[in-house]
Amino acid sequence: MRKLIIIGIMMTLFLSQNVYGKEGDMGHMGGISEGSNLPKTIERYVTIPTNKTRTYQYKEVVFLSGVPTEFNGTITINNDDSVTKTKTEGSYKETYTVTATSVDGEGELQRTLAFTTYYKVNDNMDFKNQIITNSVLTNWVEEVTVGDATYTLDRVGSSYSKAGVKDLTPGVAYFSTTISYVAKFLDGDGNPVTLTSNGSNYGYDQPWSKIETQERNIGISKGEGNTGNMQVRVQTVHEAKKTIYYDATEPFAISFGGTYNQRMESESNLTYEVLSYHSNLTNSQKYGRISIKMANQIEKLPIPSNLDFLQGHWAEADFKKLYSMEVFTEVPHSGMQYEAISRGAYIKALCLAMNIDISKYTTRPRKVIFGDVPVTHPYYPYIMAAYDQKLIKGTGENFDVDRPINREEAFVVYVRVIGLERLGVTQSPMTPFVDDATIASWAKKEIMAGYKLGIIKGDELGRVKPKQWISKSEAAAIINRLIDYLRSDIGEDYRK
Amino acid sequence: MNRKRWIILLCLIYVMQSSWTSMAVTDRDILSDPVANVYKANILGQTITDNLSFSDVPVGHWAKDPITRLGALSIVKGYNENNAMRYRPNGNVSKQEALAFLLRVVGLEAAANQAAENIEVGEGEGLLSIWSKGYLQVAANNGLITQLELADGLIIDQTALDPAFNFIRSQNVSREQVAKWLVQAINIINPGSIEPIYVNNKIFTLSDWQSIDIAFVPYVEAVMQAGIMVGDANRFRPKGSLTRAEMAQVIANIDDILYETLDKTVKGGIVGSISDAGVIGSINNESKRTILIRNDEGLVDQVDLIVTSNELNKISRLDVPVLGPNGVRGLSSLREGQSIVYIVDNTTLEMEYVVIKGDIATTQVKGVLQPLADIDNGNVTIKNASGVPITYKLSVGLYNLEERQIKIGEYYRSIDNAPVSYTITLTVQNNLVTKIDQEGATPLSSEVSGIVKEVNTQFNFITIEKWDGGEVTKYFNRDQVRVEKQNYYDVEDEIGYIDEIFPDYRFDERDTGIEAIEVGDIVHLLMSSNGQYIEAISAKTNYNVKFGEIVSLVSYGAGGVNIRVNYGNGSIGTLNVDGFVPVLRSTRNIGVGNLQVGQMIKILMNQGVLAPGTIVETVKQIDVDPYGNIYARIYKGDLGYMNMATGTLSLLNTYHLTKTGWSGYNPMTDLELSGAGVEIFHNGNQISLSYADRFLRTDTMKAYVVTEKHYDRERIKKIVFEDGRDDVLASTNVSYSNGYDAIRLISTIGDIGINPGTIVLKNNHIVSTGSILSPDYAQVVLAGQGRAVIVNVIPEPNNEAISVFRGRISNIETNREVKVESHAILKDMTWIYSPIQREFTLSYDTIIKDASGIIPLSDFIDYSELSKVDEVYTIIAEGTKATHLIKNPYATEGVVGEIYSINGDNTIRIKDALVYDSTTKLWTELSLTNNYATLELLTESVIIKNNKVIDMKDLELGDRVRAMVTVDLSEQLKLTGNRQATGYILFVE
Repeated sequence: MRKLIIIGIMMTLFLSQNVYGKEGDMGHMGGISEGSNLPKTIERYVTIPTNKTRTYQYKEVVFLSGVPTEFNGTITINNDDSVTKTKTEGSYKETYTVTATSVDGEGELQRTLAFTTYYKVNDNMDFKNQIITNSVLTNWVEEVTVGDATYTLDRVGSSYSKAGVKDLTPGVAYFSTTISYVAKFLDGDGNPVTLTSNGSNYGYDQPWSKIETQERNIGISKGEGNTGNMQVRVQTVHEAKKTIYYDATEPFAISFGGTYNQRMESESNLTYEVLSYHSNLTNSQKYGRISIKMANQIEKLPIPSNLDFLQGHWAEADFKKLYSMEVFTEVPHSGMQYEAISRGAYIKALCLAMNIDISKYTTRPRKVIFGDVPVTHPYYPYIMAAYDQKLIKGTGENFDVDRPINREEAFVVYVRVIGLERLGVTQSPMTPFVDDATIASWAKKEIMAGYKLGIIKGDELGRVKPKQWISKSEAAAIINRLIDYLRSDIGEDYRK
Repeated sequence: MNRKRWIILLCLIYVMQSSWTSMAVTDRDILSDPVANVYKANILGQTITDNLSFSDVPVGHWAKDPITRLGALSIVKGYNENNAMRYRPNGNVSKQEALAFLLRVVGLEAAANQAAENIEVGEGEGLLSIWSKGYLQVAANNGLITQLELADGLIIDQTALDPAFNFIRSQNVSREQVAKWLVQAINIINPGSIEPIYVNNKIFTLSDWQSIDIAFVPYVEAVMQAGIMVGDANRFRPKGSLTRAEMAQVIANIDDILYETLDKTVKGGIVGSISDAGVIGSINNESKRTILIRNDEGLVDQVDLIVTSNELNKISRLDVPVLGPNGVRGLSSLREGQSIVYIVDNTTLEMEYVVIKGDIATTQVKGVLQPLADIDNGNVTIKNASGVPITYKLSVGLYNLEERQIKIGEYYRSIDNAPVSYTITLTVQNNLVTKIDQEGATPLSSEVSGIVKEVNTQFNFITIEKWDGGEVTKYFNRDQVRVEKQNYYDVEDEIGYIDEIFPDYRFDERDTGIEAIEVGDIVHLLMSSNGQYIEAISAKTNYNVKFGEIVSLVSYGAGGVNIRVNYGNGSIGTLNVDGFVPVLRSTRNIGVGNLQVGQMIKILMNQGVLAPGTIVETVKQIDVDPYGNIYARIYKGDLGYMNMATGTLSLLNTYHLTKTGWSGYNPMTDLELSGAGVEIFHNGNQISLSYADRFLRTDTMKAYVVTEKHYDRERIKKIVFEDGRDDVLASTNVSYSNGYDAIRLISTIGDIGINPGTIVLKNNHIVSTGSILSPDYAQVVLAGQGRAVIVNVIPEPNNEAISVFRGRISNIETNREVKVESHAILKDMTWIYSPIQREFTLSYDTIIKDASGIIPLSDFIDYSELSKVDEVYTIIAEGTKATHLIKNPYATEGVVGEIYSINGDNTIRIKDALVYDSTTKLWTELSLTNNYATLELLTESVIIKNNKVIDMKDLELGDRVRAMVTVDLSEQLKLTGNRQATGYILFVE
């Protein structure tokens, strides 16, 4: 009985994970598709129906003939892994169907790839959960016509291996999948062509941007001495992100001065480089870059109103953006820019910024972890959701929900949201800030990680001022900076 | 700054320093733990020595502490005799003195003063000389003395009174009387806490109990049972007198009552940290010593010693009397690590008195850890060997309730994972646990882990910052220490001195020497069994990654380069890159010499924090992004619609820049605005896009837009607005550049202005003006007032590294070498014949072509029907290496001109054509009017530009080409009217 209860608790904990790092929009074969976009903000409130089967524009460069040939077409994907949100182990199916023709209109590509993916969720870690997956190939049919030859996949001699791990940190899901396959083709004359591909997909998913990068090393062998023997490096990147811009209203006599719009940009890019030497290839054939960029989606954010008292204040834009993005929810009042922000309010803002699901605690509040955050407390659902997301810890203690948060506490939570505290290396490293001695030992690892990432910087004297309270203006600037980091900067190492 | 003030401040600091020998911080967490209480020092420094240093109570006097303590609290007072303070410890206490002491203890001094005033008002001045009248009145009010005794006490002339019957105030008080008064006094403020005891036990231990007056017996019993008064050598001497020293001790024995009435607290603690700071003010200079004390509850108390000098250089200090081994001193006599007891006032938050108990005694206790039921109050309980539970208080640094962690050994672990029911050893200092060790959790071999802060190979030591933040230094023997290091590029999973356990003699790339250990590395030191020396080190590079753009670069030849890198957000760092650091570009190591300004790079660096504020960074590897910041085009046009939804900017009526100037008119060009950090300039000042949108749409304003390549698209990197006509200058060398506001060109007179807005291109990168150097070869576009809007640094045309030969093949060594029996080399327009045999090497990338296309290297042989012997080839060679072998006709005629059209049918058109006359060796114009020619390019044509063979599509409009052709175009034009020839060898120059 005891064991059953434990499993029950684990499952409910797991239910509220909001990001889970969906990958596979590009099809695991070295091509690029337009990919899925980020969820719209309005989906917080209204469910927009989505098809389980998605069809995207697709591009791939095929090297089988010995001349890199670009194909355009579509990919149809069915890889609904939502079961991983409700069960700690199990399986789901994935199918990828590609239909494409070469740019010159002469080549054709038909491919169906199907897997059953088995997974296990590991959720007994501090500040994160993990999912490991292992896919078993269930179907693979492929036929490529390029130039005057047709290559047909010999299913018997071919194998495909795909295994992944997802690291679900409080705000960001990171993933890495290793993909290795050997495809045996027969050309029209019955000559074997072996294509080996080895590489990995890695990326992350969070409310402000997502990236999936695939790196492949492809080798093609057609027998000794054949000039078609080739080695190629292919890198594909799919990136979707939200960027914000101000949309001023033209009429003077309108009830609001302007609104913020979010641009939902999505683009996929492919870079390849033929590493072996082929005298018949021109430079532009040896190195190629292609991309798919779809028109941006736009969403309008609520009007930031009653913030007139902030006009000209240094944090005006930060406040307005956060109110627009509904990250700040307190009723605006003059003077709030000078007030200290409480621990509860800061956690709530981060929950909203990271789109952490609180529905469990708004519909059926039950559990009380912190003595000073009873079910009736206005921050209850946020503190509890943050606790479930392992953003904060504690049992039976007070959370000090109404105490002003100080800088070191704010930074620690900030780094934990993006799950990169490991970069601090040791438990309590010496940080480069001149007031290092005043940083609490438990906060040093996260602050060091933030320094290495370039998101925590000292003031002009190199101080981090760990014990100082944070005003709401500073909190606005800090959280808006976090969102900006998540929109773009975090992806720097994934794009190259 | 007023020099004198400085000197004063230094003196003040010296005043403090002189009495402070530096000691290591014993309590590292004390600096980071929150300060629970800040106490004020309030006594002016001189007062302490003046009023509390009683010359007749030497250090070592048995009542030194009670006398000084009660003096500090103003309960006892001394006498000023010949400018020396004396307490007269051996003087006897009179009745009035005893009453005064006791009433002060119970907080009735103010009441006594009030009563004294009332008496003076009522009874006149006659009683003025009786200092104790107020105390007597209050004593009577509270029943310590009767009204009769009071009346006696207020008689001025006491000589008339009979000691047997009357109350004589100056008479020595008896010890039994003190006992009674004590009990009564305590009952005034604390009724019931001590009662006269009528069942006698204690007094029967006395040999003189029978001499106690029967009325006093219950009181003597009470004070003896409470331990307030004790006899000496089995005697109480009830009728004997009490010395002032004894009185002080008696009062000290009831100090809990004293502190309660006065709202004071006695605390114990350890001095954890002492730090000094000075402030120079406009009037006062202040020097402050902050003392942090770890109190018995594990919390941190702070008190500040403040020394101030005012404008008259008068020094005043706010201090606390500190009784130490050298007598009564101030706070400056405290040392880190001392155990102290101190009294604080809870109302005023002043620290009033400190006693140094000596250096901390450290004890270790061993026991079985009990469940952490009271961890919330910082308590842990262990059961000792006899099964007795003992509870200890933890120092706050050992546990963290917020994180639910407890520190066992060097590491924090979750409270849920505390080693309950395991044997642990507690290190106890001053009743406070400062360290918890678990048996067995201490590794068998002693390892120390952390991050390297210093490696000294001269004195053979290594200093590391341990996992939890502490710092240790360990020594090694250079010749014997074994070092294994996993470098950042090693991805092997066998790490460290595992060779220890599984001896293995195969190649191990991690075996290295102590020199390989760098500051910032993560190391695990295996200590010798006696803990003295490092036996082995297992290390790993602790690297950090940064991204940026090289903004400037200084080369030191083989020594490497110094680069300035813009990390984005305008933050700029300077890095030294050693000559051996790998520089990777698409997985190939291109060397430090190929770093260029404008490259986007990813830097892997080893980063060590030497001290807060001091970081050492060592570059380990640089990855050059081959596609980052590569310029695509420069456009000129009028500002069109800015579409924020798609993130595009339309330019109207656009041209783009070519070698010959602006060309490629387009009514509308859409450009992507999605890249990060697009910069917009007007008149050298950076502006916003909205500003441009509002103000820069004038009739004459032109936008110059430079784009960078982004996959198969391009996107905007920089926009510059300039007013009026521009002028594209012919490419030429830069003769001078100061890098920020002026350059000079060889072909023009006077300075050309540049500014931060100027678009500068170099090595195909978009760079800043600082990268323009003399003698760069550049195309400059001027926009009014001699100001450059574009400086496009391009490679100077040069084909000198390539030689062109023709020769008849005599011998081929397949894949290796080709021999020609004689050859001709092309010099300008002339083939110079030489009968000498010549050899050229072949390699896999030698391209061999004839009219039908590429000949595989495997078909380039000197036997069978494929034999190429005796055929004549044009050979393009770099040194002795043949890069191209082309079978094409002997082209001896020539034509030069500038490309103005490149056509789809493999022809180009050139204007201003000059034809070479091979007989006269002169260039003449093809025709005097409408001077153009058409050149056809075939498969076997070869085009050479900047020492490289290029494709036809790499030709640009404006390129000046020299073509070797087979016909004399002038003749052909005259005879047939045809202006077309086949170009076999083309040089772009």
